[in-house]
Amino acid sequence: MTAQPFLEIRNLTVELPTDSGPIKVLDDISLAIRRGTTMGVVGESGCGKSMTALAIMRLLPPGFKITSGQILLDGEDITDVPDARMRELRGNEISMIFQEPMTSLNPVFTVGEQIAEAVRQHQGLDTGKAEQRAIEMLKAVQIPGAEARLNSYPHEFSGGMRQRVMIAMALACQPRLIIADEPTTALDVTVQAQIFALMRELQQETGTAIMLITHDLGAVAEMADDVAVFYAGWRIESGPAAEILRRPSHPYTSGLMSCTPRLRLGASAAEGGAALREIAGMVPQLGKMPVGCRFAPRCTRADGYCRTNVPKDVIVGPQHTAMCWKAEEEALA
Amino acid sequence: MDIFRKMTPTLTRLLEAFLLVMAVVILNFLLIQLAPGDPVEVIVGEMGGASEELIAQLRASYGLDRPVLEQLFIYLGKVLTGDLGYSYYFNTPVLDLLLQRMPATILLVLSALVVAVVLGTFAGALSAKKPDGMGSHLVTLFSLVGYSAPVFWIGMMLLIVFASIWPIFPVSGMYSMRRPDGIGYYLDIAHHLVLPSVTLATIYIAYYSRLARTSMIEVLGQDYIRTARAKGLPENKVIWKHGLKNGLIPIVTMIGLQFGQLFAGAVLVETVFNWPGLGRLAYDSILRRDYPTLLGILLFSAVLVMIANALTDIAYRRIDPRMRRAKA
Repeated sequence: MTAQPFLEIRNLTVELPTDSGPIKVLDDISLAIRRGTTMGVVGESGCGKSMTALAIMRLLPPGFKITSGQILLDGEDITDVPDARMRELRGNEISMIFQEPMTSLNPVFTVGEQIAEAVRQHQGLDTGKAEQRAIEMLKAVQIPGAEARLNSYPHEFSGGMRQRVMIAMALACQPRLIIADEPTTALDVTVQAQIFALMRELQQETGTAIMLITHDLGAVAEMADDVAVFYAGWRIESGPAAEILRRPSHPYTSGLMSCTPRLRLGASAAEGGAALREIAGMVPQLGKMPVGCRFAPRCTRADGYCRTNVPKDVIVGPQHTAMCWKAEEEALA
Repeated sequence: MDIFRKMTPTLTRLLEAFLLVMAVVILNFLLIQLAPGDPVEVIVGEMGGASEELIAQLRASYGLDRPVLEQLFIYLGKVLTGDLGYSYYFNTPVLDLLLQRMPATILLVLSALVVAVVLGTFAGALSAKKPDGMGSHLVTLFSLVGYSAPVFWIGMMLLIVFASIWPIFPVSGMYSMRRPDGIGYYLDIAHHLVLPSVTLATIYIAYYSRLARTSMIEVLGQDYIRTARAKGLPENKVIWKHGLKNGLIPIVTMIGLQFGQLFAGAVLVETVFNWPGLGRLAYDSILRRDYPTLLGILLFSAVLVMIANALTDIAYRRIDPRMRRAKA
């Protein structure tokens, strides 16, 4: 539990310049992922989860800039290394699995080529050996008939199979960190479970760290060692998964949890008492952020002080921090 | 049985192509009947006048005194046996005439096409890399000018600049008066080819650069391009491998569709540059009312366009694997 983090983000800020001044898409984000563990990153859409992932990969959309902070990969700050060094890291030390398996594979190349290409690029293997490696990877992600499937094109695979190909591609160079951006959102529930099981299995074999971006707290409970909760460009709570899921400090986190349906046989919402709730309101628009706590307009516990003062990230438990005035009061009490 | 099933689409296509060619022949034949002017009058005019008797004799010898429908069926019957008739003007078989003129046109059209596709795609793809950059605006400007300038005007401007003011290229024709031997012969033809093919290519460079720009901008915004970057590929591979192979799909489709227009352009270019191909022959044949030759040229170009379309189809399938299983 005390191992040095493999990836550490310190006070990362990403801005988008606009005509009416820069907008902070990520505001002073910090988080750390330990070797061989899984960090679940949760929050509603548009809170900066994917933006954080793209910042790590240095693949931010045009216009978006890292304006301050550090991203330390095994101690090396990768926010300002040359592009050539970044290309060495991408696909090799850090890999990414994207949300949309249907569109993330190139339709005009075989899956074998798309996997082998990364291996040739980073490990300097010749065509034959790279192909061998691609077959191994397809076997590792349990695609039946790997040798024959090597020459298939993406459109000949189902969504779940394509996501397996994406995982094979991400793992081909044995990266030490995999960023999975909602890897199962586009897939059937049954396939989701298979993909998660596969990722866990491969993690145990290779010891890679995983950053799992999701809005599914069920997936976090199943997969993650640690959790970071994002809201409106802030990382509002972070800590060990077991701790946060049992005792969330931030009202937003508890709100998210009460939005997650739990299956219980024979219990309807009416008789079970614990009806599925929603968090009223919407994530504030970028550039129209509230002055104080950004969650205050939707928070049931917010008072005047919350609305005018930006909360600090305070320790609320062992390795557990939250950005909330109320959580701070409780921790001190 | 399996072979039969595999062959069926090909046979269907061949049959379709055959019927289409026949339709083209019939339509052309009837269209020419509608055109004003009489071939016999042109021949007689060039002879410096003739008696009524001789005119009637000429009409009879060319079969022009028979009803139009009968003429059509005679022509169709001959075409099916590969006989395209005799040129009124040259008095040689049309087929020989066409085969003799065809290589010059194919050379011109293909070299213009290659220049247009390669330059156009390259310029378009480069400008798609930075859609707001200086180079991108230049490409857009050039394509606007190239697209709206008439072919014959471009030809004449190039002649004025590169054959008259600064005479580095020959004014017209395909060969020098004194034909060199060996490799010099081909270099001589290439030298003559530069201005006509650039003239014919200009509008298509403009067209393909616009098409490639749009297509590549769209492709470079796709998820799989981000995947390629996330894999750590150098930017060159991202654009020229992962981007271009997708970006080429609409371009290849367009090549097939535009082949006919390219032939039409060749008529103008060959006339301006006195290029000894089918296009110039077509132009001259219209003036001479040499209908058998004209019909032969139209038939030839219809067949060539169909061959080009078939080749495009094959190329299309090679590039886009999603099309391979689709209807043949």
